[in-house]
Amino acid sequence: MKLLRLGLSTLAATVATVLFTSLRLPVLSVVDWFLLAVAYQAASGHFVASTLGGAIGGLVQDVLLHPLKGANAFAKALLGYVLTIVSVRVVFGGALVVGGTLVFASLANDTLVGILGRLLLGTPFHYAWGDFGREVATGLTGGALYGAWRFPWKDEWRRRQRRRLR
Amino acid sequence: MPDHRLAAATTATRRAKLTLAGTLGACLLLMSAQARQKSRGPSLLERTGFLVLGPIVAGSHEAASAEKSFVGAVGSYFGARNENARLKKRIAGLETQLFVLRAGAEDAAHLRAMLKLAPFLPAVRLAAPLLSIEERGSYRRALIGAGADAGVRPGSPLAVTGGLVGRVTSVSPRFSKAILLTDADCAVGGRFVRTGEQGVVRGEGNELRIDYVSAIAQVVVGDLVETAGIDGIYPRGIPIGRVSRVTRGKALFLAVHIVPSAPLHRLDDVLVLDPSPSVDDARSASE
Repeated sequence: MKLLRLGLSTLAATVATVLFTSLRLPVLSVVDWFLLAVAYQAASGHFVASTLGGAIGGLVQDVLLHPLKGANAFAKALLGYVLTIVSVRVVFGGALVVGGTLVFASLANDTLVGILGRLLLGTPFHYAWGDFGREVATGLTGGALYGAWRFPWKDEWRRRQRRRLR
Repeated sequence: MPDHRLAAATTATRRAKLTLAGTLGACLLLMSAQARQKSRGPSLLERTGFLVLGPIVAGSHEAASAEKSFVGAVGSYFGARNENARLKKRIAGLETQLFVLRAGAEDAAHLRAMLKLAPFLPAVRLAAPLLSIEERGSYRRALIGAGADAGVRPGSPLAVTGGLVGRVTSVSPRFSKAILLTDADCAVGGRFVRTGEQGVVRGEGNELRIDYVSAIAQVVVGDLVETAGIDGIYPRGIPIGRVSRVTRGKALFLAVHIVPSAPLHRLDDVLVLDPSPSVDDARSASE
């Protein structure tokens, strides 16, 4: 089950990354879908699965786009562990809190990848407001998905049915 | 908490910590192996990754293309008349330009033949779709939907009609990875068209800057910068961008900022040019 969840979330992140970039959709094309997949793993509360899920998702991201293979895998494995601690130890609020946490996670991911690139490849480290926009887009999308996931769709549907019958 | 449950929880925590340490260690080993590696060709990991991910990436891109063409077909059905008028006007403008450019090209070819000069621009190998872009931190990388099977080679410059886009860094049979002009690792030999001053153009995330331009150089906002052809990678004469800001830099140099000519945020397809002969020579020497 955990393996299926891991495989499916990584597959979905890969498809979403290519699909939304190809479609040039304004917000969705800049979202870090692999980080959202890691956050989804972390929500299960299982440390090993979220750490390995983060590493595999990050490695796929590195193979597809990044010059330093292992940088995103490192950052996302660490974030998978940290996000699991957060999901296990902290009582979470609504979509807004999840979105805010994901903005910080995305910021941490980019900073870690930037530092690793600086140390190992000598790439100059730049941070622009556009990058913050991408982190906010990741947080917003994550928050919206969490809201949609937690929304009582069945109850709402039943309530509407009942209202219609009256 | 009973003893056996406490023991199980401790074991689980230890296993989680060990997994984290092992994973981070493996990532560090992988990264340090690349930092020491001299050649920039595709690694075994990259080749395997592309082999496994190839069908997923290609399928996702096909789905996006189908959706785009469906939306485009519906849109063009409703806006066909306006689009027709707009396109007719555009064709008239382009025909005028073509008339002038054809005469200019014939003149240039004649002069080149007289002076026994080789043409600046290399042949366009193919047009390839851009599948994905990473725009995070200092990195501006792209995944291109054509690889060695289509004739793409490492070091091939990438351009669009607006200007230079970047170059191919590694190639697998069906896909290629490219570095964009705005990436902090990208450096291009550039020259100001108006004055002929040369410098090194570097990526700064969303814009570019040109280094090593003398403080006494006559640079003004709006000056066009093109490739100088001095780096052995990019051919001469491809537009890079226009000067947006000039300030006093460090030591005896100006700090000149450039806005890229190519619409790097709205790229759909790119033209893959033939790599410079020096890139091929360097690659065959390293092999």
